[in-house]
Amino acid sequence: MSLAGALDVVSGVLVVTGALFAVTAGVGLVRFGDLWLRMHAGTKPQVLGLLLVLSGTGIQLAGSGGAVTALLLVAVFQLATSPVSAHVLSRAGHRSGAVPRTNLVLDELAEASRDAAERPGDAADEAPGEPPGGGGDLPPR
Amino acid sequence: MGVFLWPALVLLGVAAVLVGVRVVRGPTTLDRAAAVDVFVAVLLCGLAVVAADRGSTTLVPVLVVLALLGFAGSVAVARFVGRDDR
Repeated sequence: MSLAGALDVVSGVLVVTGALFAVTAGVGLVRFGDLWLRMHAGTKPQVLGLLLVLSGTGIQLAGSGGAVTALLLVAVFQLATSPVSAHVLSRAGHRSGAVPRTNLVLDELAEASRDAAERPGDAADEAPGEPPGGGGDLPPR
Repeated sequence: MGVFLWPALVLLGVAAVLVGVRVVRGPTTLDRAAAVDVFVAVLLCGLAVVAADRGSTTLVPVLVVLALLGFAGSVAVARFVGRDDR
């Protein structure tokens, strides 16, 4: 088999494997029980699948350096933004009470905000160690 | 690439339908935001597969834009979810 044919097969296998990871993310989103579990399914296999598909595409488009750079950019964006959005969503779920906390073994975020609320004369709306305005939190109601 | 195009697209279609089920079912706004996030990523995969099959770079800028838009959407939703806002 020629080198071009071998690269074709490699990129095809990468793309199909990435699509399989996307399906596992979808199955996890449907079957898991609450927001935090679903987010776990929605961020990890999804990002890995996207990286596999992008590398397969990169092999196909290897002739164009600009396209490969742009695909790398997409991969970096996804790696940087997916944890951030999952973190912000999970904090919002914690704060809004949308997720039942009865299954939690340890709830350090609740302890931290309770400590911050009890400290007199302090800014009660921020957990300790968190810069002002960080974490995408609304002020307490 | 030819042999792999349809299997990949069918798998991505299945993934999109599963994610769509979660978007419809909810039950909270945050569940929907997380699911839409995944949906955008599946869309990215689909566009990348088509670009790879055609060997054309026309769709690559679209990938960059979508990668940023999905993030902005879910963060904006999470930012404005209130305490009793299901």
